[in-house]
Amino acid sequence: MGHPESAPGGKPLGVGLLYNTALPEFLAENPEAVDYLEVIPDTFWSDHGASSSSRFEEIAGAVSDLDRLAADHPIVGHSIGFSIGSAGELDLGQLRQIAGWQRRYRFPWHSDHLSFARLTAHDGHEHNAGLAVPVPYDHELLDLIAAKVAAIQRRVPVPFLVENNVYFIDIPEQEMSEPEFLNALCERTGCGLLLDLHNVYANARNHDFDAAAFVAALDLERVVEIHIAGGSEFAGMYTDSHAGPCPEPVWQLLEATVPRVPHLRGVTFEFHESYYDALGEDRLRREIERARQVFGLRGVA
Amino acid sequence: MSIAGFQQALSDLIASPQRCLRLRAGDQAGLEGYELSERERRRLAAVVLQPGMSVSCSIYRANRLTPIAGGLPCSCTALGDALPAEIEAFWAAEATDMQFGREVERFGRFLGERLRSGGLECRYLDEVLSFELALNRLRHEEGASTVRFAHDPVPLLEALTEGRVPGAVATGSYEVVLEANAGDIRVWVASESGTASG
Repeated sequence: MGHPESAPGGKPLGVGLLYNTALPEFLAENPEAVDYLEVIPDTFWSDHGASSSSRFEEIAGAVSDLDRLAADHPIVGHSIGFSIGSAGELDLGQLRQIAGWQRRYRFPWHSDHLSFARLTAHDGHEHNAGLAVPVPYDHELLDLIAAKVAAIQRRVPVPFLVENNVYFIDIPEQEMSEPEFLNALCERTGCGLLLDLHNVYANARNHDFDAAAFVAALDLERVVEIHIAGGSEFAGMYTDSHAGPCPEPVWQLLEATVPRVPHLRGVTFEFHESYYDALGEDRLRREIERARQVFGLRGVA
Repeated sequence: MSIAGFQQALSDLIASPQRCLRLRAGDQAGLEGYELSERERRRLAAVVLQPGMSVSCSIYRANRLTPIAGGLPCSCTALGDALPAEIEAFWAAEATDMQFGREVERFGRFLGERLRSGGLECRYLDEVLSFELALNRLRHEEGASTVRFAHDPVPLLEALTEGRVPGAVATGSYEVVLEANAGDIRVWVASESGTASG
């Protein structure tokens, strides 16, 4: 199995932002602020369904904006449409579409989440679970997901990363812990990890475990990218709403983790565009700068 | 395949707080029709008791409602107190597909049929809905569209945009043109023949 760092173009990029509709304005004023942009490709097209002859219809205005930004920034793909945790076969139409976008924008790596969102009814109709639903960490799921990851790796010639999910329910009687599952998936397929430290923080708060111990249980050799973000309280739990600045405990996790990640290529700050005005341009620049300082500590432990 | 049955059952619970409450009360009938192992039944019975299931249900509904509220804001305001019942009826009648963004168009069609069938009466909704559906279509493709209003569209849309349903708006025959070109959408009143406040 190939190690993520052994793939072509394995150089670190630095600090990036997850693309949202507030960014063209920010980047017009701060063109040198970030080293790369991460995009959710699925938000740039309408998916008319697997049975449609012209399934993926790109949203022209959004793609034009992306093309302009891609002229000056490396672009990393962060999918939400593979739904690698779903029962059944991998969506080959989605795979062809992502492979095309990888060639077009030269993603140096790409990723998706350890969860499922796609459901297929008995009549073949596909529908959306409405959020990223967790999978039980069982050997049967490991087999299913590993096969899908391998299929993605065969088709898209850059490292594929799996992101640890945020979850609000605790599925009982699981056969593995989350770190054991992620480590086994990486070991079996050679895929990389997108370690979302804000998701770890949210899960640790909601399910009462030690976030640092969780990170220590992961094979950090596999981590290629780290996500940081802000969140908010909702109905008695802490959610990954990407609401504004990164909380201090997540910065502390980042500072403790980065020196132990030898193959880290990027730290991405995620925020939702609806919080841009509240976050403000100056605070966003400071968040990026702080992330850049921590990124400089990579692999020194 | 048991995994498929478990995922469908879990997703259906997340989509339906009522279904969660029934299972929480011990009514296993809601799990009939799914292919489930005994362990999967135990898992589902356990997760519906957790606070996280309520949060998951709420996030599901917020995720589905957000595109509709963003794409049809004036129509939602015009619906007022009728909005929750119409949303519930729409969700019960139509399965989702993979992109919630298309639900704006589908919910618009649903409301249009409800108005035509007489199942829903809502002042201003017909014309405002037509306007917002045209606006949404032009966000994705260049072109032009004309929408007819039976009420003066300027004060009507201003009030609804501010989140209030106006008490009286001049009636008449108005044509509003929407034109999308190079990423910009222009909107103007092309003709009007107002009569009186109604």
